[in-house]
Parts: sequence; C-alpha cells; structure tokens
Amino acid sequence: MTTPKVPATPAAPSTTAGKLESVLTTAVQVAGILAPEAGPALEVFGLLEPEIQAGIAALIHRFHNKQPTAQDFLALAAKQTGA
Amino acid sequence: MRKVSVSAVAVLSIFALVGCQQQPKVVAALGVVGQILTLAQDDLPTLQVTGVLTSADVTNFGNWLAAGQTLLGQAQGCVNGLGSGGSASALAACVNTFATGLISPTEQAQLRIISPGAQKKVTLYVTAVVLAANFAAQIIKATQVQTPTVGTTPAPAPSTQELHDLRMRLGLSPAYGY
Repeated sequence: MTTPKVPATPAAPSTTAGKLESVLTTAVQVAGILAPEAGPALEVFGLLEPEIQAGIAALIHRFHNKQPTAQDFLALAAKQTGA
Repeated sequence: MRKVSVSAVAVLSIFALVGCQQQPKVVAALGVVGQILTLAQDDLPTLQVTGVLTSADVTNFGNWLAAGQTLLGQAQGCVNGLGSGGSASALAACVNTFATGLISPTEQAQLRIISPGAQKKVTLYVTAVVLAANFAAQIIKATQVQTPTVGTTPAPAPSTQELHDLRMRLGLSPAYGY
C-alpha cells in the first residue's frame, strides 16, 4: 500500500489540511464516482487520474452543499474525456 | 418478542425516514440527467451543420438520446409514484432501471459512431449523462454504471456466461446432444 498523495487542488489559500481532507472526502462521495465504502476516501482519491481529481475538486469547491447542474457534469465530463 | 417487534418497527421507521429525505434529492438529480439529454438533443442540428456529426451519426446518437429520455421518464414516473414515503431500496430500484437500461446492449448499439471527431463529442455527452446518473444513484446507494464505449464497435460481445444462459433458455444444452 503506497502512501496516499494529497492531490494539488484549486483550494483557497486559507484552507487548512483538515478542511481540505474534509472537502475531498465529501467530493468523492458527492461526485458519485466511488462509493464511500470503497475505502478511505482520501486514499482512493489519490489513485484517481489528476484530471478527475481536479474536476471533482472544482465541482465540490463550487457546489459544496448544492445540487450540481447539467453544466457541472458536462464540465466534469470534459475534464475526464479531454474534450 | 415485544422488544424485537419494537426494534423492528424502529428500524423500518428509520429506513422510511431515509427514503423520505432522499426522494426529493433523487427527483432533482434525475431532473439534471434530463437537462443533459435535452442539451445534447438540442445540439444535434448544429453538430450536423458544422460537420462534426454525419447524418448517420446524428441518427444513431439521436436514437440513444431518445431512448435515454424514455428510460428517464420511466424512472421519474417510478420515483414520483413512490412519493416522499418511498423507501431507499424502492428508490434505488427505480434508478437502477434507468442506469442498467442506459448501458444495455440495445442502447450501446446506438453509439456506433464512425468519425473520430464525432466520437469525441458524443463521448462527452454520454460521459456527462452517466456521471449525472451515477450522482443520482449515489444518493440512495443504487447501482453505479460505467460509461459505455463510443466507437465503431461499441456493443460488447456476449460473455461465455451470457451465451450459456441463452443456450439454457433455448434448451440447447450439450447434455441433450445439441
């Protein structure tokens, strides 16, 4: 088991490590790409493609506690597919 | 015995409450899936005029989108029919119908898109639809699906197990000599 890497995300400068972990954990769950029980969220998150990490992070940063819109999913899909 | 019954009622109440809380979220999430399908449908004429999609590609992808709308309508009807008292498992069954239908071999056959440029654009929309569908599924722990392949031969070949099941259904068993 390799040490999970905390990916570079467009986090605000004031974001603490604890808050970042919380945001990323929520991101993985909210984005619905991985089930929460798949493993420690941050560890699993570190195994995802950087583009997907960025997409999820951007999604959660912008829409924390909000329903993602069609445009959000299209933007995330564009990051995933390189379109 | 009475203690067990009270516990069972409590557990069922919790599940009912969870379903009650999740139903509006699932309705909203399925609504977003519909918006993506509609955006893609509205984009088809432009994609054809600009040469991104050929006439055949428009027909194929248009059929996939139309089938997606039909499946979505069925899932939304199912979820709405449950109302706010619908259990999480019942909601999951509604969402699973949509998700599994979306990636069925019949639907995947519509994703036979020849031109590489068109494949890229169609993959974008298909990925967005699946992401949104998985978002809806995640709310009530329903089945998550993989994005179907867009390409010249998107429909997967049947597995050995599927062929075996088909033989059994048709009565074509080696045990009977055929």
